[in-house]
Amino acid sequence: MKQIANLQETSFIDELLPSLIWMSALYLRCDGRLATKIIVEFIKDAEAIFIEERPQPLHEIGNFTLLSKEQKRAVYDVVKKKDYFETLLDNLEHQHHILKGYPLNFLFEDHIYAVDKTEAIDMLSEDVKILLDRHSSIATKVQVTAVYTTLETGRLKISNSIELPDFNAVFTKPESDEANRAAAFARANMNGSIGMFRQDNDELNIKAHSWVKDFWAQTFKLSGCTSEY
Amino acid sequence: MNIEKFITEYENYLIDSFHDIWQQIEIEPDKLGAYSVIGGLLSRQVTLSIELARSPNNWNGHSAPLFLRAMTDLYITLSWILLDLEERAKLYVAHGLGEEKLLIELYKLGIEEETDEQSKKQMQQIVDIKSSWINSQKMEWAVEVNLGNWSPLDYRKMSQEADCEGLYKFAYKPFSQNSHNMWPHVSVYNSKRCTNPLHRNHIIPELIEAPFEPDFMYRSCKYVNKTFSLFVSTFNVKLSKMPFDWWDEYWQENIETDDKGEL
Repeated sequence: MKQIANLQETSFIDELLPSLIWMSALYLRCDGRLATKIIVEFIKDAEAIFIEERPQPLHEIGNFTLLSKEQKRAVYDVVKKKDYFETLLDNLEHQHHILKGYPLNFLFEDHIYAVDKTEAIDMLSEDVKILLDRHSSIATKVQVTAVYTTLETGRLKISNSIELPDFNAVFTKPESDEANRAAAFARANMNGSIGMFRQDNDELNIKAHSWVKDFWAQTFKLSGCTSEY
Repeated sequence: MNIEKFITEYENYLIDSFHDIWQQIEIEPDKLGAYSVIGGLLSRQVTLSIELARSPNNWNGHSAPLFLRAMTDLYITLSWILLDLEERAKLYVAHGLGEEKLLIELYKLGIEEETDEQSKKQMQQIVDIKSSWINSQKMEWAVEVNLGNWSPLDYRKMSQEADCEGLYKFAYKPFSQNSHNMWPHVSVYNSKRCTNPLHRNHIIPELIEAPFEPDFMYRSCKYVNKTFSLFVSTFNVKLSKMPFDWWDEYWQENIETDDKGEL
C-alpha cells in the first residue's frame, strides 16, 4: 500500500480521538437526543461568529486551540447565553480539570466546579475507552454527529444525486441496515480528516495544532499501566 | 500422564530405530562424504527429538519451537540434498568448512588486537583446534569462504524442489518467528496488553508462563517420522515400527491403563 504515491498511514485513535472526547463525554452521561442537540447547537453557534475567516472545523476541538483570544471570547459571549451551556460545562468539567491546555478551557471562565482528581481521571478513561472501539454504539454516535455538524454548518456539501443515509437510524434503529449505512458513511467521511491537522499545509490552508500529541503525552502520565491478569 | 515412562520408552525407541536404519544403509565407497552428511543429519534429527523429550519443562511455546525450527530446517535440508546426494552434500560440507575458516580469520584478527596475554593464548587454542578440524577434512588453504547461503536456493525454493513446501509454509516459517525473536512471537509470548484506555491499549513486556503443551512433542515425533520416511523411500530400508506407529501404540496402551485407573 505504501508504494502508492501520496498514500499516508493514519490512525483514528492516535490522531483523531483526542479531538472527539468532548462528544463521547456527553453521550456517556446524557440522553442521546440531548447530547446530539448540545453538540450540534454548540458547534453551529461557535462557527456562526466567524463571518469572513472561517476556522477549521470546530467539532474537532483541537482546532479551538488555533483561535485567538478575541475569537474565543467572542465564542464564549455567544454560547454562555444558550440553554445548553451549563449542561455542556457540567459534562466536560472533568476534562477541563484534568487536562492541561484543554481546548475548551475558555468556556470555564465563570464556571464553579468541584471535581475529584481520581474521579476525573476515571471519567476521562471512560470517555477515551468508548472511542477506542470505533464501532461501539457511542463511538458511532459521535462520528455520525460529527459528520452531521459539518452538514449543518455547510462545510460538507453533498450532491443532490447522492442519497444521504438517515443518520437518525443510528439512534432509533441501531441494528438496522440503514443505521449501518449511516455509520459507514460517517466513518468513511471522518477518515478524510484523520491526520489532517498534523502539519501546516499552505496549499490547503491548513494550520497544524498540537492538541492530539499533547493529549496523549499527558494522559499517559495520568495513571499507570493496568492489566486484567 | 507418566512423563518419565514416556521419555524413557521414546528415547529407547528412537535410539534403536536410528541404529536399525543406519545399519541397513549400504554406503557407497565413492561417496563417503555424502553419506557422512546424511548420517550426521539423521543423528541430529533423532538427537533433537530426544533432547526435547528429556526436557518436559520446554514443551511450551517459548522453548519447543527452538527445537522444532531446527528440525524442520533439517528436514528441508536433508530432503533437498537427497535429490542430488553427491553434489549437494559437497556444497553443504564446503560451506561449513568455509564458515569455520572465516571464524578462524576473525579469531586471528582478535589475537592481533588483544592486549591481554591470557586471552591471546586462549584464542590461539581455539584457532588451533578449528584449524586442525578443517585440515582433517580438507587443506585449509584450499577451503573457500562463501559468505552467502550454503545452497544456491533459499529454503522456500529448496522445499518446493523437495516437495515439502507445506512444511516450509506451516511449520518452518511459524517456528522461525520464535527462533528469530520476531514480533508475531514476541508480542504474544513476551508481552501483554495494558488495559488502561489512556494508554491506548499499548503492549507491555510480561514474563508469561506459557502453558504445557505435549503437542510440541508430538510434532517433534512427526519430524523424526518424516525423516525416517525419507530414508525408507530413498534407500529402501525397512523399519519394523515407524515413529508415528510407536507413538499411537504407546498412547493406546497407556490410555487403556489410564482408564483402569492404574496410573
